[in-house]
Amino acid sequence: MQTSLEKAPFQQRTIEYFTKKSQEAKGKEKLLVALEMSKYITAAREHGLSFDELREAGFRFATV
Amino acid sequence: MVYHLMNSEKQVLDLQPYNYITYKPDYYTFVTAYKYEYHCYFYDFSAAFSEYPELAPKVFGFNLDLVFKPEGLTRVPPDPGIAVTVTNILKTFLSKNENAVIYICDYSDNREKARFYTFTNWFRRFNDGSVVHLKGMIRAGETTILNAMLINRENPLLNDFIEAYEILTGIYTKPDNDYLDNILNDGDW
Repeated sequence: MQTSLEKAPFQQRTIEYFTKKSQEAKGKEKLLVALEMSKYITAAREHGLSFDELREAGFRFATV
Repeated sequence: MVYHLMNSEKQVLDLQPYNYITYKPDYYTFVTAYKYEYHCYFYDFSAAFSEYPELAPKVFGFNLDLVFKPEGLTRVPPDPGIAVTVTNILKTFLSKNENAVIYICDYSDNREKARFYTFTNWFRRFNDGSVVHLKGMIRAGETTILNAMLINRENPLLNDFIEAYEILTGIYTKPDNDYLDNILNDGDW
């Protein structure tokens, strides 16, 4: 499995994309997928997506 | 010399976090004295822990994003207030529930070591002992990915989180049940 972290044009994703990728990953590769998701959220915010829109795409956040 | 060390320690302890606003259930935000604005948030990390159904819903990744910098300033000035604020938010998040937090350093701009050591140093300075900070390193080809797990010391799932994290990062390999039975039944202790 390859996890690309190279700069690429921003493409909107849903949580299903990362869930599927993580299911296919084994062991520490799962952390690479998590890193890709972390970078995606940052990029999505930079491209103007709100937390509401990210939640609609299935991403979950937490505060206390 | 002792006086100076004690005095310097006191200054560290006297540092106050910036006021931050919580936008439930999404993120925290604060503005520094230099007018930099940060968002920090905890995002669902359960997919990486899918083999641990009891732990998975309690694991969150952590991001700190600089969302605004004043015009003319290209580099964030040294500001211990950011460290105090971020560690304060993390400690609060971990103290009120059974969650664990994972921090993975982005390596795409080759600044992962700077991020990792900055974060580690923040916790070395401002952790009051309530948070266990596990540091990990995973290799993917030529790349080294630095990461850390943070858990409240009183978390009832502490040992389970540590074992899962060690297996996930490749520090520890859990023997399968048959192999474990053979070892435990081996009379040659």
